[in-house]
Order: sequence, then C-alpha cells, then structure tokens
Amino acid sequence: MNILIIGAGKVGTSLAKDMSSKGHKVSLIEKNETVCEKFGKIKNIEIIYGDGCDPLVLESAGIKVTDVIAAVTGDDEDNLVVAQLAKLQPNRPRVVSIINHPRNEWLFTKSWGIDAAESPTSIITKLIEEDIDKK
Amino acid sequence: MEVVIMGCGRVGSQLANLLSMDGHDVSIIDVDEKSFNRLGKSFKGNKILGFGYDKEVLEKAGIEHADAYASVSPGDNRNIIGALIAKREYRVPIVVARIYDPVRAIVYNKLGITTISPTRWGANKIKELICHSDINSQLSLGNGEVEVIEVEVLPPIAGFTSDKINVPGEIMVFSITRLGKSFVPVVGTVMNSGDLLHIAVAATAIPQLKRILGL
Repeated sequence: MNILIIGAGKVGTSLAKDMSSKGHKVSLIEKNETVCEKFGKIKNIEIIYGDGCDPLVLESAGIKVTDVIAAVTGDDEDNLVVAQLAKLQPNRPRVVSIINHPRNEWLFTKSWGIDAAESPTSIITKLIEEDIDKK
Repeated sequence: MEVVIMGCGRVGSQLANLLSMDGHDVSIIDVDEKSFNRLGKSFKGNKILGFGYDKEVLEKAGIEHADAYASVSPGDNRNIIGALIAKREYRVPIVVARIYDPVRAIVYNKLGITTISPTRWGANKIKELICHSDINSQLSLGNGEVEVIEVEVLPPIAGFTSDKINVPGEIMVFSITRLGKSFVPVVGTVMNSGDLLHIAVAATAIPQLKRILGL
C-alpha cells in the first residue's frame, strides 16, 4: 500500500517506521525543517518538508495515488483540513486520524471525511480509570 | 440579522462594530479575553469567551439560529474548519471565511464556503495603485479580478458609441450618467463630452482599457 502520513511527531514517526517495516511505501510530510533534517534515511520512507494542509504540497507528495492518509499532527484543525482535502481527490483515499483534544471528538466523523479516528486522551483516561478501580 | 463572528482581532472587532451599528445582533467569540478590548465601550453585542469549535461556546453564541457566520481568526485552518462547522453542523445560510493563502481560498470555494483572501485582494489593489493611478476604481469584485471604474468622457472618445469601448469578456460600459441621470446604454448610444461612464473591467484588461480611452 501507499501510505501518506501528515505530521512527524511521536505518532507519525512510529507509524511510519512500523508500516515501512511491513513493506508498505510511506511518505511522511512534516512542516518543521529541523525535524525533517534529523529524521535520517530509512528504507521505504520518504520524508517531505512542507505544510501538509497545503493542497500543492499534498499533490507533490502523491495524494492522488495514495491508498491511505494518516492525519496525525498535534493540531486537530490541521488533521480535519487534511481530511477535507483528501476527500476532494478523485481516488478518495481512506483517511485515519488522531483526536488531540477530546472536545473535538464530535467533528471526527464520516461526514467530515474521517474514516477512523482515535482519541489518545480518552483511551488513556479510560485505562487509567480501570487501573484505579483494580486496587 | 443574527451574526456569529469567530476571532476578535482587527478585522473581527471592526466587523462586529460595523454590523452592530447597523442594528444587527452580533455575537463574537475569542479565546483571549483581552481581545474584546478592541470592541470599545459602545459595542452592544455578546462577547463569548471560549474556543471557536466548542459546541457549547458556539451554541452560547446562538449559532443554532444565526443567519450568518464569519471566521476571521489569524489561522487559515481554524477559519476553514470554523466555517465548515457553521455550514455542515448548524446549516447557517451565509458563511464567510477569511483565508490568507490564495490557493487554499480557491480550494475551499469548492467546498461551498465563501472565502475572502486579503492577500490577493491587497496585492491586486496595491498593484493597481502603482500601475494605474489614473484609473478611478469604485468597486473591486471578488478578490479584485473585476473592477468597476468611473471615467468622464473627454474629447478623444466623445461622439463615439459606447459599444466601441466594449471588449467581450473583458470590458463593458454598463451605465452612463448624463446631467445627473443614469441609464444603461444600448448598441449605438453616443457618448457626449462630460458624460460619466461606469465600466466593468477585468483587472488584466486595465492597460487595454486605458489605450482605448486614450489615457
């Protein structure tokens, strides 16, 4: 599969390494130049310096031929913008994302072009609550 | 009208004051309480402190029955998402987003949002002031792609018919004001010296219009 990841933070980087080690072709867009330079060379991963919310950057990163887009930046609005742009593409790539702030959960739905989204804060909160209850 | 504005910066506060002075019911949202100082003491509308995507905040601002919504925060992405929320989740009839990046402004027009790009508009306007200071623009349409200009008929063109100025798709004389009365010219209307013409012109055709008018 061709996978386009937006945001080389903890989630984006870890996801890129994981998917590339499974043999998928990964493109990773990051808007911080220093982060891009430090990333180094990893087989099957192409790191692209640019703003993933910019339609021209997405196009040059191959949005038209990608199967899946993972919008995993630390900004919920950026992730939502990527999803809107993805759904304008004729190939309609699958969009997965993360929800940084639980108050934004109501927007990460199919009607916003999001096929699946995970909310780390909500997940961790639930797990910790369970840990507390265990004694 | 009931209007919800996201972002109380320079544009947001001025917009809120203008609408409020015209008697509209304005609610303005911002995350920074200090930003409301820009509104001045005479502002009669609602100031809502909070995050612009928050359901509670939006509903407190009255978005469920708003007639119009404008997002004018400093972030393009924030404005895009704000506008989409107003349109998709609350079906607000009129939604406008300020977007600095002209490329994005075009893309989001496709998603049914009216976008205004001050970057493009400002650049077009400044270029016009530099290159065509002798052309008196009355109105800029869209992001400055079409200008409405006012020109007095002087001897070089007086006596000709107004359709001699028209260029399909680029230049059109749509009104003539003669002795204080305006009318829409037909083919064959002769222009008199001292007539005031109103001309719609594509920004790219301004040099051509100047040649035709003998300016």
